[in-house]
Amino acid sequence: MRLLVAGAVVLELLGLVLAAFGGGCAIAGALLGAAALGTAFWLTWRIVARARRTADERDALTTRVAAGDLAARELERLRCAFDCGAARVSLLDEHSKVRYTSSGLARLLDSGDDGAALWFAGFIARHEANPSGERSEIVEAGGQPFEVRVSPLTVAGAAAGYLFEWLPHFPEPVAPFADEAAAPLGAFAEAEPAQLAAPDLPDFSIARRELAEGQADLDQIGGIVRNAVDSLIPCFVEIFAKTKDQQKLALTLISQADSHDAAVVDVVPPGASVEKYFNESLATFRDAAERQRGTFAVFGSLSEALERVDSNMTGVLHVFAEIEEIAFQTDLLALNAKIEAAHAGAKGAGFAVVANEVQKLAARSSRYSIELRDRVDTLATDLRETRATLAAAAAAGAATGQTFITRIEAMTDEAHVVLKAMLDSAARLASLTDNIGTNVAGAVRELQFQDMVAQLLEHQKSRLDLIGADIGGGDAAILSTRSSLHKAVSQHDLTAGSVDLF
Amino acid sequence: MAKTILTVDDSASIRKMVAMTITAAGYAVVEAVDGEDGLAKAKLHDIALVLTDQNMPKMDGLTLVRSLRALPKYKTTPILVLTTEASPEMKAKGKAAAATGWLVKPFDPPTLLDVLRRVLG
Repeated sequence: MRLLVAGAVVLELLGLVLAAFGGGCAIAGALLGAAALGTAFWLTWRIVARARRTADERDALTTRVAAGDLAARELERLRCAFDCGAARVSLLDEHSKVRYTSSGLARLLDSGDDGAALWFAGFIARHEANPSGERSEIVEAGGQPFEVRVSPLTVAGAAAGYLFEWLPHFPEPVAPFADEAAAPLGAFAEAEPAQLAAPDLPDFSIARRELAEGQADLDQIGGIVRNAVDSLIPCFVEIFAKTKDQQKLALTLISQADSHDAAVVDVVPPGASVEKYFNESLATFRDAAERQRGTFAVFGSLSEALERVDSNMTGVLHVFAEIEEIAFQTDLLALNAKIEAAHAGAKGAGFAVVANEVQKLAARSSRYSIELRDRVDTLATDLRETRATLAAAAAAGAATGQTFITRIEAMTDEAHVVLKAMLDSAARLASLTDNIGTNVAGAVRELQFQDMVAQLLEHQKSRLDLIGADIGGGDAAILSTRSSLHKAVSQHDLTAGSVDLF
Repeated sequence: MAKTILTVDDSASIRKMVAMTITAAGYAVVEAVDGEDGLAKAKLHDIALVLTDQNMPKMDGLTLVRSLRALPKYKTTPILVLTTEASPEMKAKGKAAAATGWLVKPFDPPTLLDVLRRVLG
């Protein structure tokens, strides 16, 4: 712009010279003069417009400063240095090359980035600590990089600064310029308007110390949380594993009572069932008892048969008594026959021989009958004793069998009660185990707070690193991370996260 | 033979909790501490599914996903990203990198197992 102004002036002078050289050149000179005047008017209009805008910005900053706005105060300090020609603010392109110098300050002010102003406060503080050298640093404001450069004032530098920076501020040139030209750069604060008198800048020693301790505290917090979680996790792993074993055992117990449970069929041997075992055992006992009772019923039947034999034996004994009576009668008849034969004399001698033989037969018949009767009587006695024994055995066996069956039935009922109680306990155990598993799973989710806290602590440490670098020496490597600080944790609670399957 | 799952996370506690969850379900586990380690172990083992964090030193999760997809062996292997990152932009990056799914921490163990069963088929 300034070059264009100079050019316009030269053109105007050239036009005047040409006009003086004669009428032949009068028309050309007039045209050149008109062009020069038009250019000068256009440039003047742009300068005045720029100056008004700059004045508006200054007014706005002054208002903010009066309201105690620290960022505005630092920007005003930057403007003072700029006005004095001791500071340059250049907008940089993406390759950090100077793009705009003259409008850099305006664009920086337009960015409205208070962070940049605070950065400038640190920048000025560093220069005030070492005012002899030239310093150039880059700050990002409003998403654009700016280079701010300051150097000690010299008369030539101040004059050049005045020449190049005064024009844009027309018609309000920087009043204290002459004094500022002789002042060292470190006295920028004194160049500020009286109402903008700045307090002494802090050396941030307390802030640096607190930052260092804050970072140590963050490390300590992270360490405690990490150690706590690292200790807790093995406990939960153990609980989780034992819970699974417990659940498997409970399910096995239940499944063995009912092997049809498909959910646990993999842990149950095929056909295994506690209830089935109970039922089969008790059925076997009951069958054995029934068979025993049947056996003793046979004893009873045998006893009854023997009773009938005994009755028949009594009949036989009566027959033997009849036989003996017949033999006795036969013997009497034979005796009478012998007597009659004796009365008959010699004629009865043969009859007496027959009677004698009959008497002998009667005696033998009687003797055999008695002998048979004695034996049959003995046999009958033995049969009665046997029958009595069998009857007693049958009665005792029947009683024992009934007792046995009654006991088995009682055992069956007791076994079912015990089995049911056992299964109820196993079911409750399975339910409790499932509940513990659910709670352990919840605890696992909650324990993930350590991962989130660790990431947030790292983020805060990076932030503190940046602040520390900004106020303590400007580590370029750290400062360059300012725009890349990324907060990876957005969660505010430990609700389970979302699941997206693509 | 149990399927092997590779869990990649720079947080030891997360690795332990993931391992505890998936071993209880009968899977085998291989652990890796960052993307580089995960890539090396993926080449070394026969992995059925990869579960990786996003923000890790040396190599992040999305780079790991892209690196695995470049290997013929892992063209179609399910790869799930398990991370605190929950923004739609990051999920879109995951999808563009050919991840199979995006799980936001904290994970719920039963839900994680359900997802693994669904993805592994």
